Amino acid sequence: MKVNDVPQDHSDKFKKEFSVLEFAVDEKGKYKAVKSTGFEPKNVALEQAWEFEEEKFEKARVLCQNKKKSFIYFHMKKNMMNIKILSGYTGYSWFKVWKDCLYKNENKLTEKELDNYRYAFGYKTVDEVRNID
Amino acid sequence: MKIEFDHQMSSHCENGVTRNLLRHEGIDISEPMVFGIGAGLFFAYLPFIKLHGAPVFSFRPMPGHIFKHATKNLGIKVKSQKFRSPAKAMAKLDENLSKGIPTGMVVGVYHLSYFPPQYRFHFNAHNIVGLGKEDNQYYISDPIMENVEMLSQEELIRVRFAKGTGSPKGKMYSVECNKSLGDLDTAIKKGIKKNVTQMLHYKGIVGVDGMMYLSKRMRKWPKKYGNKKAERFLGQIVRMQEEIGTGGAGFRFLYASFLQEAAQKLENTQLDKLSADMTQIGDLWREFAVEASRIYKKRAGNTSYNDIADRLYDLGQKEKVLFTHLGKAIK
Repeated sequence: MKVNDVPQDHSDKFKKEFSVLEFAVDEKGKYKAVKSTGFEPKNVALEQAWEFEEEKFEKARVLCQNKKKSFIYFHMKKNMMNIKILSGYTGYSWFKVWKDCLYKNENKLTEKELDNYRYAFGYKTVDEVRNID
Repeated sequence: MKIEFDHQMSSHCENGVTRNLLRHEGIDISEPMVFGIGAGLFFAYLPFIKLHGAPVFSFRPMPGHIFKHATKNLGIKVKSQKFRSPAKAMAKLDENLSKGIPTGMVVGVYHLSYFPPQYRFHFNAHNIVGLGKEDNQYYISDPIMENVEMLSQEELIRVRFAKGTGSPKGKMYSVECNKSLGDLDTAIKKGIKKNVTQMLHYKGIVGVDGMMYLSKRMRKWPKKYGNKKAERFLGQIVRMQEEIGTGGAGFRFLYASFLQEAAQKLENTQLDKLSADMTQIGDLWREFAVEASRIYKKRAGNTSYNDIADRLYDLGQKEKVLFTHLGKAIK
């Protein structure tokens, strides 16, 4: 790849600009490092991967609104976790996490447990865990 | 307190950390050189591991491989530790920093606050260097970022003990002894040999064999999984191929750059020619990505899965020839 051919494509979906280093050949045939802002096929693939994730947590939101699943379930999906990862962060058994994902157990969570989940999701306040908007 | 450290950006985190740490010890070595000596070129198709609903394709070896092989081939001693308790892990880090030793750490990407949001998946093999501590804030040199970043203690614990596949368990490492670069030639040869082995002689789903296997399976995707799923699989290949941490085409250019440098060091003109060949292969990988993207962007026209698979098979054949020549060239 020539230095001038290093892709410099932008994506509309991601606002934060981020450039990576690429290696390319200059006029004399020597390799050197060049900054690249993105490559279109990759940007599209990345966008689609995010759309797939968004689809998943929109489904989770509907389940919460229909009183099938709890807010813990929604935030688990929103943070792209599964029961195994969440149980790792909280230190609870997977069975407890699975139970906490059910709507009927939503109000049984203690403050300490909620704080533990807050830590796992990386939020600042417990209210953020309760919020599913 | 902050250790004087020459922070430089790199195209792959592990190369960057290794290069920066070695440079701190007075060993001046370029990123492609680290990549080549660490035998970083790889391919694996792992259909049994799923990430975001698609199988995993890896263009990089196991995390830690490049650091391990680069330092081993250069004859440099390293110290690496894993921890069970976060408190102990942080205490050890503080001890190292107060002694003035920059310390490499393996972390999970998801909770890294300075990282661009579009790359924040649960990927647990990112490498950073701790440079110092002030109050509750740590100075972090992340080779993907342009400048030195800051992380709070709570954040650092969370990323060092990230959970999920391949949890880092607070792994940290530092370069122990300082050695002059007298035997760079043998190190280069060792690195190339190792890379030839992992591309040609590993069978099944790894190396050149893995590419051929993937190309065979790919033809069946639309029939077996339906169009939507097959498109996602293709997207995953391109994402893995081009994403910062995983390489693909970018890694081919990096390796070509290494071969060019090696040709000069070893005064071997054959390597120069092979470097040009590798550049061509990298360009073909790029074309492969563009063709594949036509399918998942639904602007395929005449491109079908069979065409993509043919391209991949071709790439496999080309790399097989190249590595066979490479093995002979350094004998």
